[in-house]
Amino acid sequence: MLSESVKESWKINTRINLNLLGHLSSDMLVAQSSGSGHTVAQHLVHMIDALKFWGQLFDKPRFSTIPDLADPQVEAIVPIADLDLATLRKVMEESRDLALEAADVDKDKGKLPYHSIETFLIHIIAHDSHHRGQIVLALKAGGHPLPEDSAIWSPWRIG
Amino acid sequence: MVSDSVKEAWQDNTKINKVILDHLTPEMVHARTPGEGFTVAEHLLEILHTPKYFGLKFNEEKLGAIPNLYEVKDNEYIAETDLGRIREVAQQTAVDVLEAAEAADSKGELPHTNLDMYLIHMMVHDAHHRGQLLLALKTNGFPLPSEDLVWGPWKNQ
Repeated sequence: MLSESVKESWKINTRINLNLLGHLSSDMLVAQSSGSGHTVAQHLVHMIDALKFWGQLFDKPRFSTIPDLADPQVEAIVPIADLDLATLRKVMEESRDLALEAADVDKDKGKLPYHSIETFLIHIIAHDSHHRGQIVLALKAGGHPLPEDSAIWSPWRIG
Repeated sequence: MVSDSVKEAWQDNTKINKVILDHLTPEMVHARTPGEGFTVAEHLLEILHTPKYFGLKFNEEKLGAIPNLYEVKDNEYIAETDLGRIREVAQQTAVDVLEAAEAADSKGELPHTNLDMYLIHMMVHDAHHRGQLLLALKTNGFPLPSEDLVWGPWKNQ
């Protein structure tokens, strides 16, 4: 059973991911961080993959239903050929909802190497934020407009 | 009051900040994020000052005593670059913020739902700046700390 705080934080984090995705246009997906870093699409695919990878360690039936948006057999992140924003938005939202549902009902952390399912969720929230920070830099490097600060930070505050 | 999970996560997050701080050399703190972004020192200032900024809203006495890592010159904030000083204040901030949150009876004037969510927001803020700080190091040709060190603390490593 999840605490209300972790549940609310998870929902806020999902909203921020969707705010970011709502800001993106197709041409922004190929913007790349300086220093041959990941593209925006690779960051987003990795955020989804990381949740699927770790989630399967405590609830394989649910998390294995998250679609692979990159070839799981290849170490480098190679997004599927027809990956578009609509798919990213759909899979981001559905995977986050599915994870919350699983974490709320599963009592056993299974093979997760975390203190608890709650700390796993907090880790994923932090992991997303790490990559959002780098996505913002990739957009900047590509000369694209950045999302408003309010879209990325305000959801943490009441009102 | 802080839940056990958030307390554990805060301690993991503190270890990760320490990994980054231990990795840095005096040359690295001046590395700048591409696109005229923050320097590493400025990212560290963001990471260390923001918990204090919000923390003053529920325990001004205790958290107001954490030293500032900046000086103001000509209306500009100049970030501390002395790594020894930054590491000291980082340690104090991590300990004092958690202690204050655990001892608090109420969230005071915090704009968060509760103290757990204040701490989670601060960890998210740290992660955002750590991600950008690592790119500042990478694009300036500095080595990065190993992935295991940066992510391991979340996984009991």
